[in-house]
Amino acid sequence: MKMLEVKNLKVNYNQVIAVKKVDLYVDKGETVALLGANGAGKSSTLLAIAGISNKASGEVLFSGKNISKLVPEKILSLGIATIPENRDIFPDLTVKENLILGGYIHRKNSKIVKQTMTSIYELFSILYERKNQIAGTLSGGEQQMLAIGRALMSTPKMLLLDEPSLGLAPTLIEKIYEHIEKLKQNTDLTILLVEQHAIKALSIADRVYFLRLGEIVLSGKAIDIKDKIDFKKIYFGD
Amino acid sequence: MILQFIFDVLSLGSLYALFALGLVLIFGILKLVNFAYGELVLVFGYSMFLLGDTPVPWFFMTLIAILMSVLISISTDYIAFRPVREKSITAVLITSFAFATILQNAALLLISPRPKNVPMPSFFSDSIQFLGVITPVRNIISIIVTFICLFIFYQFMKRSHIGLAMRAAATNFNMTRMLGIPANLVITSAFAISGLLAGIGATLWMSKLANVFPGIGLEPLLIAFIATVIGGMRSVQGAVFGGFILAFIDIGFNYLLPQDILKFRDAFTFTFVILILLIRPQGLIGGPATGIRT
Repeated sequence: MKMLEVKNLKVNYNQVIAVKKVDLYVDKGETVALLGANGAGKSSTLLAIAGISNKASGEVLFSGKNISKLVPEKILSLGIATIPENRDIFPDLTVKENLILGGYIHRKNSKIVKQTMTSIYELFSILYERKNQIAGTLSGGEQQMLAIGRALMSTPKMLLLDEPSLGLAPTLIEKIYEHIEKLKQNTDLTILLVEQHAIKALSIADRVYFLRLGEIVLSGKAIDIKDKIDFKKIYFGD
Repeated sequence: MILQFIFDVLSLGSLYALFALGLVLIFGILKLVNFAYGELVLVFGYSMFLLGDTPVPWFFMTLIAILMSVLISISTDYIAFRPVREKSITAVLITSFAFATILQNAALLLISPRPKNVPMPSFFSDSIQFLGVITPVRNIISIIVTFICLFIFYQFMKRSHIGLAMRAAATNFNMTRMLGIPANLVITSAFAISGLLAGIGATLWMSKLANVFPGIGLEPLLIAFIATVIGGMRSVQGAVFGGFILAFIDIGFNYLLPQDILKFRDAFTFTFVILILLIRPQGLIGGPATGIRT
């Protein structure tokens, strides 16, 4: 069953075309990776789905409902949580305050908030140790965990995850991906993952799309593509 | 002498801090200066004047007048900001000036260009002796009211969802929305609190002036603006701190300058402010690393 479907998406920033034409879909429970070089239009695609880009045209369907004209807060309440590039945690707030805001839509139900927070602390024990620490003082990897934890606080059906490896040391990338893998196994979360780090993303994705200059140039099952593809060609063209 | 000085700085500074806080709250979230902010003092003053002839007790009169400045603050958002917010900064600058002008002229046309009396209880101007310092009661009230407001404000920003959301929105508005927090709720709440602080500030302001005239909003706006610029436009602590610093400079010159130069005090104050900004253009207290308008 298709959970998310993007049809003919186009994003312009004034004169610059960031996304020319993107069609993709993500089935329920699937992890799909959107790969490509810097500037290929990956993040623009993700932000357009999340409702941030008001210069986007085309259709975005979530569980069959057209959400392309909705505001970001509405899109989250339908069950799509976004973890943007650079993580965008709130640096002046404590770890716990960041998580509380992540659970904003459940604010009237303190039981859900408590339960979810406990499970996030179980997943990322470092966040529990640092819960009263100002988030801006966390390391890059910890901030990424906080960003993921914060998104999970809204108990989403689907996660839009933008470059979790960005700016992290290789061992930390390894760790973050272990966590994502764990999430994938333990929940029925649907994930759309944007990555430059193609090899890492291929290792956990079910299916992948390659984006180049705002267009999808290749797509298919991760297992089929893994060994065959010519990365150089995809990233740099002929 | 020293104690008297400290007392004067504290009482004037607390008033400045309240005004500055109300202005910086909006700036933090929208990255826009609300130039109609001073008019909230005008609205408060004329509400008091209009209620002055009624049998309503003074305390309730004040509550109603503060409520009026809250309502006008919220309508500033609806009338001047919201329709053009997404368009351009210049547009919002102009609309907030226009809104201020309309309010001033409404007062001019509908009421009077001349100052009108604002009822204030007489005990405000009584002097009392406190720790060997003789000071009007209103100064003590200013300090107490401000510290209570700051405490409540702090708790609100720390403990309530909407307070947390406002702090978050001040660093990254889009991210706040992506967590499901409605943009308009955050903005409207900020305007409401801004109006509340301006209304309380206006009460203290009026306790000294005891009258209201169409141009009354300019000085509070300037004070709030300069205080936030000194303290740092991005942080709430900066605004409060800036308010006290500005009062310190003002009162300091009051004490230091000879009688015949005293009327040029503002020139000295502004020169000093320029000096501060030359050394620390980001304000004395830097805020979160942002400032990009979203």
